[in-house]
Amino acid sequence: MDVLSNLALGFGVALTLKNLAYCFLGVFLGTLIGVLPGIGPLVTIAMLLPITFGLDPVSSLIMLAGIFYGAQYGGSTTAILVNMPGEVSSAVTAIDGYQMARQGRAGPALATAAMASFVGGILSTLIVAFFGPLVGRWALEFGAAEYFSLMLMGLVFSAVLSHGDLVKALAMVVIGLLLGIVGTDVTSGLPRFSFGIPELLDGVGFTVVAVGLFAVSEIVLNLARNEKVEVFAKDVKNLMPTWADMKAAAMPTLRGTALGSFFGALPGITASVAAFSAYMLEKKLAKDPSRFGHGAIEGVAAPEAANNAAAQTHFIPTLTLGIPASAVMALMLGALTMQGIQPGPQVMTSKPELFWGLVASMFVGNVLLLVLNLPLVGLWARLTQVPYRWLFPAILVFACVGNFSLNNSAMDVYLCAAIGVLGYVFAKLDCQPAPLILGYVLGPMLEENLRRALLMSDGSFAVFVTRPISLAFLVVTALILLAMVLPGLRRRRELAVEEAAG
Amino acid sequence: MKNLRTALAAFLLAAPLAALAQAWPAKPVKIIVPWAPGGAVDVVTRKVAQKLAEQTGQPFVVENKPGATGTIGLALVAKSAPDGYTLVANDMAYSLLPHVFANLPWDHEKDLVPVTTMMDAPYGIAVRADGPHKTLAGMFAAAKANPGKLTFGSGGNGTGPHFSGELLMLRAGIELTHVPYKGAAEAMTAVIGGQVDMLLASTASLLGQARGGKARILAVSGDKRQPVVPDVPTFAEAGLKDFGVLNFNGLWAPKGTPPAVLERLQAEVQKAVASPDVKAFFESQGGIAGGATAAQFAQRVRDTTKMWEPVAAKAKIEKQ
Repeated sequence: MDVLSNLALGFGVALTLKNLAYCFLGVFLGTLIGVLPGIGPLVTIAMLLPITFGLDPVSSLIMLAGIFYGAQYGGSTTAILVNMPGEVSSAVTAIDGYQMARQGRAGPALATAAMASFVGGILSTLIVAFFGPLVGRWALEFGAAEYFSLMLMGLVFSAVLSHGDLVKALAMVVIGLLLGIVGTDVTSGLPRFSFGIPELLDGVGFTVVAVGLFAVSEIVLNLARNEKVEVFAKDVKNLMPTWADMKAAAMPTLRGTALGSFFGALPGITASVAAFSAYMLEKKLAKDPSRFGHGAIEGVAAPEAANNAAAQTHFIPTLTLGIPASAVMALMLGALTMQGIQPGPQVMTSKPELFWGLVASMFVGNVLLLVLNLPLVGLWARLTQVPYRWLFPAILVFACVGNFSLNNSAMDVYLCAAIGVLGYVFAKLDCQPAPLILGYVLGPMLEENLRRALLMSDGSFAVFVTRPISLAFLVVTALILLAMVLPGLRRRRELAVEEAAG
Repeated sequence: MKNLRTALAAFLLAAPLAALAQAWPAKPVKIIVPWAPGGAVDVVTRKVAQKLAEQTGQPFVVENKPGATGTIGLALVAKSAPDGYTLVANDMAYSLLPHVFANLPWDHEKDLVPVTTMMDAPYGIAVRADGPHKTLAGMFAAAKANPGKLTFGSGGNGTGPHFSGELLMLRAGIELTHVPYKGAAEAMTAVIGGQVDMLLASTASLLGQARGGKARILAVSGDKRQPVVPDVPTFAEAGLKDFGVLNFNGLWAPKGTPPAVLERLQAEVQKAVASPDVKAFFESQGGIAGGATAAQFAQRVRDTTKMWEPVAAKAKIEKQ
């Protein structure tokens, strides 16, 4: 087996004492910054980039990669404990994870998140190892038409996500869309909603929106509540999930891994899209969807498996093709360039120790993360006993530092504060922030790819149905719509039958 | 006595300036890169900064200040103290700004002084390796047979690849459709995925895919062939004269920086890029070591800025 001998070579590289140390350093740092809202892998890797120039390429790549996927583990911690996602991709974990914590099940929630992340990480790394080049070639088949149809499917799916008022959810999606299109329009090159402020020409950053909406507003909300804040971590004895929990989380973890691996391999799609999709799928498949939003363990397992799986397969286009699939990956390729390695499809063959060493280190890193995170569950759970007067200022400081360092821009900090206020208003109006994030992420991609596809097809809409992958997504979208509409119709008919009988 | 006092006063006033120039750099120098870390300008600048630090014994700190096509970082440096401790690095994008923005927050011609180039980067045109276009002439023929059917990708409106594509249309007398992407890497992906037909960009950003057998470089700009791709003809050899797009990575200082500081900086950069390791690094990237004099560089910025005028007019580029 070719892959096996390559993996043996990879483990030979990854298991040297030096590379083990860098791998540990990477995943440890990743967990740490994952826990802190606002400070993400992008900022951390950018700051560490100059330091890596002195290291050899494999070691620096192993460390930087560890930071990236380590952050996906850590991100769920604050999401579950204090309802503030440490990473954008764990925003959806907060929905049910926080509710579990409120019910005194912070331990099981954290442990489930860690184990789901582990399974997602290991399985998707297997995909990278065995099918990396194949998946990379397949991802290239995705053009503007395919992306448009995929995004459309996502938006239709998102109608499932909302619990509560449908009109409010739609309003939030629209607000998200509006936020998302701030900045220079890709197709025409003209600014929209930038009000002559240069900083707005590049749009409102994802971290700015997510931290403002989830972390800052949550803090304001807590301060506004006059009563003594509930401390639910008093009872942290039950750390591990029960057998029933494990059984309930098993299939969602696998489905989340599958979805995450798929989305992660597509350039330009972030781990948060994967996490959202996994959550929506679970809610759709659940026998009792009303449990979601009230501490359903599937709502923790699926998105956590998905975001970590996506973090691993995200390396496929980057490593097999030399295409940076996101800003973080662009940084990694920059690190390689500085080392004198030209990123491209030839790296895999000309420097096998780099590709396979990194893949092997992902196995090692995921094991390290599990070993690191499970014992930490108890420690983290105790974090909730830290008085809010200490915790909140600390979180706000980190949020400010994180937002500032992304572009070295104070504007992002102000924007984040403003969106925090907006988030408070939304909470008071009982509007869910999740649909907003979805509109913010998917809307601009939908528009950009629609216009690009039409630009290339000379305005002909036929392109969306003549390209097979695009057609497949549209058919699934139509089926989802039917599935959503049909139960309503059936119920009405049954009612009519009952009435007729009565 | 009075004369002596005047002389003393004149000395005291002049001394800081002279001392400043002689002692420069007496403290860490900050180089603003108005792009995200990991990009082409960032990589080149960091490599040179490392060398400058070794040569002068003072740290040269690279700080990324991205946003609004680089104008945020450029405006910041234009308004900084002209003491030689704040510089800005940029590439050909600088020459495009007056054609893309209606109002720049600084005087594009005067407020920032070109100091020297770090690396020159010839432009190349890339197509999919297993696509129908094997030569530049062949591609031109196909474009002439189907006006507007062939597409070229770019990293966005008003970027080097966009303007270069428009210039190619102008010079070759062909009609192509511009398809903007978010960043040149996305555009390159579209080329090798067969979504768009071609991309014009710095050879450095095309090399990886060309070496990996996914893309074919049809021609490169410059007077002579590139040592990294010796088989690829120049545009002139391939039949297109007067396609003078030559990307540069250079340094600018705020207006009013003491001439002595600028001279020293230029000399140090020249020395840095001539050092074997930096030179080899640049060549591996498909670049040519810079080190131009301030006058040469200033002339180049002016010429390039002027070169885009008819392009912007023909492409009807609407200013922001």
